[in-house]
Parts: sequence; C-alpha cells; structure tokens
Amino acid sequence: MSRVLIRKLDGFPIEFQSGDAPLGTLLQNAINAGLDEDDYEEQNITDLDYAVLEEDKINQPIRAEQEARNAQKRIRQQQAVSRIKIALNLSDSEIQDLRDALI
Amino acid sequence: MVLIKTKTNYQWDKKQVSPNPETGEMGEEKDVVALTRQLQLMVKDMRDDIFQLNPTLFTTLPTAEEDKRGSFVIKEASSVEDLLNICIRDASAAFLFKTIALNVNKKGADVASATSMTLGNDGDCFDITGTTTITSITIRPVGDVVKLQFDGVLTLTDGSNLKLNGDFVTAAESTIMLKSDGTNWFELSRSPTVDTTTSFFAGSFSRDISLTGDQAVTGVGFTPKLVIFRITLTGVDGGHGWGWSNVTDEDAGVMDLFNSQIDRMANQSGKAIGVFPAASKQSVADLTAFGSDGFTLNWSGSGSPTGTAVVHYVAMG
Repeated sequence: MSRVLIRKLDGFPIEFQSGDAPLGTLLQNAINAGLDEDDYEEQNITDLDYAVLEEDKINQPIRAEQEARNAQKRIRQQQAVSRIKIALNLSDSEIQDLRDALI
Repeated sequence: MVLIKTKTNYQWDKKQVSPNPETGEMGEEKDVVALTRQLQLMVKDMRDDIFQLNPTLFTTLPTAEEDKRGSFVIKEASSVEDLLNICIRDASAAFLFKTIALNVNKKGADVASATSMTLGNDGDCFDITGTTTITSITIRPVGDVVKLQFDGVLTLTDGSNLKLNGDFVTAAESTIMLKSDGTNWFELSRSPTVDTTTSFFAGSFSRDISLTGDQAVTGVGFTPKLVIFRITLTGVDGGHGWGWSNVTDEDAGVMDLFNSQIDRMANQSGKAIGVFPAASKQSVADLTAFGSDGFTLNWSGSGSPTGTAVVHYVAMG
C-alpha cells in the first residue's frame, strides 16, 4: 500500500510514495529536510484515497488560486479597455474594432 | 582370411590359415611364411624410418633399447611420464601432463587470488583465497578442466585469457568450472549462475520542492540499476521534465517554467530531476544511491522555489 506524510495542522500531504514499504521513510525524509517530526504523521493510503486527498488539498486550492488570478487579470483588462476607450474617445463598436485588429 | 599372431616382437609365425573359399582346402604354408616375412620387413622399415626422422625419440628414453636387428624398441615403460614423453617428445611437458593426469579429481593446495593467478599442478579442484581481482590464470594443457571454489568476495574478470559469461563477482562458496584450450580458459559453468532476469517497477512520489536534503524513495522491491523520471508540477498543465540516472551518470531535461514555452526543457547534466518554477527559482535532485528497496535523491535548490513536484518513475534492476 502507498504511503503519505500528512501535516497535522491542516492535513496537507507533504509527500506521497507508491509501493509497499514499511512506514518511516517519509517521516525520515521530513527530518532530513529540517522539519519537526512531531508536526507530521506518516500513514498508509490507497491510491484512490490519495487521489481524493491530492484533489482536495493540492489541486483544488491551486485551481482556486489560479481562477482568482485569472479573474483579477480579466478585471484589469476590462479596466484598461475602459481607460483606452475614454482616452481615445471611441465608441463601443470602435473599441471592439480596435481589439479585433490587435488580436 | 589369414590370422597371424606374434610370439615376440619380430618373430611372426603361422597360427591358422583359413580354407580356400572355392576348394575348401587349407592354404599353402609357404604362402603364409612369405606373407609373414613381408610383414616383418614392413614393421622393421617403419621403426627404422621413425628412428631416421628423430633418433632422440628413442635414444633419450631410459626405457628404449636397440635390439639385435638394429631397431630401437620400447622394452617396458617405467612410468606414465615416459610414455607421454614418447608421444609428445617434450620432457617438461610430459612431466606436466603426468602430474596433472595423476591429480584429476583431486583437491590441490589453496591458491591465493592474484591479478595473474597460477594454479598448482597438485589437483584440479582449488580453493581460492583472498579478495584480489583475478584477470588471468596461467594456462594449462588443452582440455584440462579446473574447478575453483572461492572463499570470499572477489571479481573474476572476463577478458585476457578468461573467456567468461561476463565478470563473475564471487561470494563465499561460489564456484566456477573452466576448460583450457591451451591458450584461454573457457567457462563451463558457475554457481550461483548469472542472474539475467530484469526487474521493473513503475511508481510515483511527490516532493515539496521548497525542501532540500535526502529523500529516500522505497517500495521498489529490488535494488535498481537505472531509474527514469518524468516530472510534473502540480497545478501546471502540460509542463514536464525528464531525467534518468544510474548513480554514476545522470542527466535531466529540466521542467523549465521560467521560459515562456511551458514545455521547454533545459539540460541539467549531472542531475536526475530539475524544476525551474520561476525566474531565479530552481529545485534539482541528484540520485545518490541505490538501495535494496529503492533509491535516494538529494534535493537542493535556489531562489526559494515553491510547489509540489509529482514524479513518475520506472526503476529497472
């Protein structure tokens, strides 16, 4: 069964390894990296359970962060379009023509 | 058909004459006498011819003597060595042949391992002591077979006059059997036999690339000889890096996200894994050792990289 090292504070999987092996390797790896072993717990985990954990603790937060960054980017783009439209005194169709020409 | 037997080396005589197949009568004795005489002359001529070709063949032998007719004959062989000397006309080689012939299936004195090792002639089975790598063994006569049993760990190197099925790394009680062709030793068998099986294991692990230090990866199930890696960074679609290592040599196509093209890989010689997640940020790993159940990576980095690397690998052993 695969193994995972969980950060006790928030359940974040610090390290995962496939393959059958005794517990202890991942915790030692954390110690090697200078982490406090008391803050982490090594467990056996099925690949299916790890996929759920990875999605919940790693992938989903990253996607949420990326979506937030993309939303901020879209807002900044819209604000830039509005500023250009006002500065050049363009109509909506004219600013759209400009955007089409630039793309 | 005429049957003739000898009383002595040169005294031929009639013993039996077969009947004439047409008449059923016994053949004439005078014909048999004539035939016997011809055979006597032929044998004598052959002996004399041999003597003319190589007089030392007979004269140097203590068991050879000249008979009353002037021919040299072998009266009685005094030893195996003398007989061999007659055959190969080389006294030193005859001595070696005799010694070896008398020591077949006999354990000789232990032999200390040496780069160029010489076996004793006191047997054909030897214990090899020590741990010195053996690259050649003094040859023995063609056809000679020796059985070596090793007392410790050493390497019998394929090459020179050792024609082996690859290098033989011995352990205590390992054995090998070699046959001489007069120039080289050819392997007949070894124990334990060469393990030609190849093991594969496909696995994965993750790594927080902000961390440095040793990361042992276990669960492989055997001692790898080579590992090939594919690296992705969680949250980055499409980017990946590649790497491989056999500990001694390794090379990585680094996952270089700093460059505008996400799939662009930067070569990182001497590393097995590399991730460049942003400008001036990098995390790399060196495969430092293989173990009985996996391998150890040593991670280092610069620029405080962040993220979780997901590494898929194929270990071969």
